[in-house]
Amino acid sequence: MIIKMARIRVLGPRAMLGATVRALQDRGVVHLIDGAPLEGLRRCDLDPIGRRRRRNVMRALGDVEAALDGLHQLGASVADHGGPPPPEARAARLAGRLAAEVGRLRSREQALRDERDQLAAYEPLFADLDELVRAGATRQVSIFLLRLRSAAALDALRAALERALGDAVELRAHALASGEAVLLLLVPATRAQDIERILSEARVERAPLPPVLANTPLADALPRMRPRLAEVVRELHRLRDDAAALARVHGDDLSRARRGFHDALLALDAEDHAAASARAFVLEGWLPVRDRDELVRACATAVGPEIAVEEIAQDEWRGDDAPVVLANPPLFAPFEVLSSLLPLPRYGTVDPTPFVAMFFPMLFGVVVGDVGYGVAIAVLAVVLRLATPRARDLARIAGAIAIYTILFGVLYGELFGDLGTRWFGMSPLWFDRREAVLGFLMLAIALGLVHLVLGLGIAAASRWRRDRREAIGRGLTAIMMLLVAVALLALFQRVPAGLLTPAVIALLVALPIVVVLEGATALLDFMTILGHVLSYARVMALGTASVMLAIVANRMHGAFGSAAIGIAFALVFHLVNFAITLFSPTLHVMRLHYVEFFGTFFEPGGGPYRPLRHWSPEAAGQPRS
Amino acid sequence: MESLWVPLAAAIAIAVTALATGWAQSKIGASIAASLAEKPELRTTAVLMIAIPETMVVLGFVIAVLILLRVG
Repeated sequence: MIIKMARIRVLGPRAMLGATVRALQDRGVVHLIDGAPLEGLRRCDLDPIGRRRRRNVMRALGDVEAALDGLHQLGASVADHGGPPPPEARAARLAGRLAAEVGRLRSREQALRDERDQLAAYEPLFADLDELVRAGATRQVSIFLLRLRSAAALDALRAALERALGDAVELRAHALASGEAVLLLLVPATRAQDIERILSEARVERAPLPPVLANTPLADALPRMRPRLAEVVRELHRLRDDAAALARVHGDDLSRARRGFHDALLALDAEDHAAASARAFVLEGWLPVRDRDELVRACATAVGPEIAVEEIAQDEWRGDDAPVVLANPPLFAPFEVLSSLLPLPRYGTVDPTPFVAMFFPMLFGVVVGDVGYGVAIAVLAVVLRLATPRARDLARIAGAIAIYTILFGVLYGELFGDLGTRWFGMSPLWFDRREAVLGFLMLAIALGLVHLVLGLGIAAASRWRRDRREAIGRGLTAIMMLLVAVALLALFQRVPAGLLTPAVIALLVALPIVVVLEGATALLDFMTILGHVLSYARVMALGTASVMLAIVANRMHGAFGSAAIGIAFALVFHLVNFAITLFSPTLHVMRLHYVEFFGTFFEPGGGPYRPLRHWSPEAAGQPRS
Repeated sequence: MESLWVPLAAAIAIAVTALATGWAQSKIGASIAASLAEKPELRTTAVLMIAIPETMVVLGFVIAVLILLRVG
């Protein structure tokens, strides 16, 4: 349901604007707006001191975010033990110092990581290098350390070198995971110039050395590469320990400072909504009616008796302007996840969540209707609930779906298709979907009729206060739908045939009245709703397909020579059917709600409720109330 | 002869509507994919738009069933 809102006006001495905004922020219930223009008041722009403070707060917040982000990147976890934020000036100094320090750590870490990656590429050659150093070969021959972009080019290079130098050249190569190759080339010092020429012609580049070894001759640098890699790794560990120590000492301060700076910015933004004269200010906003009295008391206590909070009479504001807050009982609340996929309903209209909660699981159950699949969905719901606490709402929806699936499974006498019948002698308590195809179709269409007539009834009730003509039109359309159903039932002799003529006459009388009330489009609307009723036939189509797939899965048991293979195939097929069962009916039942059902009464266009409150990381990206 | 025409009629009823649904969804799907690239918040509308033509094949299925059961 949509919570009833009140529009309020807060008035007080200009000097108390900041304190009042902080009091409103502490309560966290007022959605501030730019109020209607009042004589003698103008928009309350920040003075130069306020503007400078905003700049300072934004800069300090930038430092805090940079420091926290940097610590996170360095693998340090930052605690937030709660508590009040530190004083702004101290927090800003701390943030500036830490942002610079963390920035230095990050730059150093990046340089070390680059060097580590560079050295790690030569690691496969370290054993060869050690061997050469031990043998003193590095002083007797010319050494080339090369890196090829493609391992395929290695063969071409090897062939070119052998052609030019024969056995005088020694080549040791290793392919890297990246597809590149590193190679060590040893040639007699007298042939070094020939090698230079060949490498130049083949456009083969020398492998770069890390900056600390860049100016060292290769013969001296090679023996130092392995110890340098170990040193870099040790230094990286030390650097991360330093970051962790910083987070341990200052992390809590930084987290509290972040909250404080965000709160300060929110309060400064809120002051922009105020209208003010030289001596007084006015703030306007929305809040749930249930919080109104408490807010009045809180303002008087926190700021003083000079602050007046008055409610603006309902005839002075339009419902379309009010933000929308949805509040449903715990049984229905999880289904807000489904209704929230559409825009918020307009204030003063109907929240569709309770109806989704009632019909979504039921229609799903009518489609799937299988005790075995229902139990599987229930298990899935429990796993979802235990594994991911955040998916609590989803688990509850799955639980409701499971209950209806099991219930209709019992009514249809189905357990993994016809397995219940074959193994346990289950029989349908209502009807057998495999046999009564037409009956199932009638059930689906009847459900559609009930669903849409209910929607039209909701539309009539919700519009009654605003637009009597439209409300009567919606109500008459609902009656016409029922008359069509009666006429069809009479035609197929499911009800006394004598009802046919009165139903048709009533229909012919109602139709022009609806056209007069709602305009010529009412006729088109009526035909559309009739089509929407037929659209519920998908419930039968999907249900029949689901049970038939389950039966096919069961038949696989005997379709193969080996019983084990047959059972394995049957299980796989049931698994596939279960996956389809989860996806397809969900999508189609959602569609029946969004397109067919909501189309009869839902009026989107509500604005989100964003009260001025204290900042928190969880609420930061949460626009919808 | 009737034993041939009845299932054939049912098959045509569902085949034509299935083809029509597929064609409509291909057009809508391409357009919606382009829209989503620019406005990801349209995802719900996208699902609805793609689901709308499915009514055709559902009704085709119903007609096919009615033909097979020879209702009326």
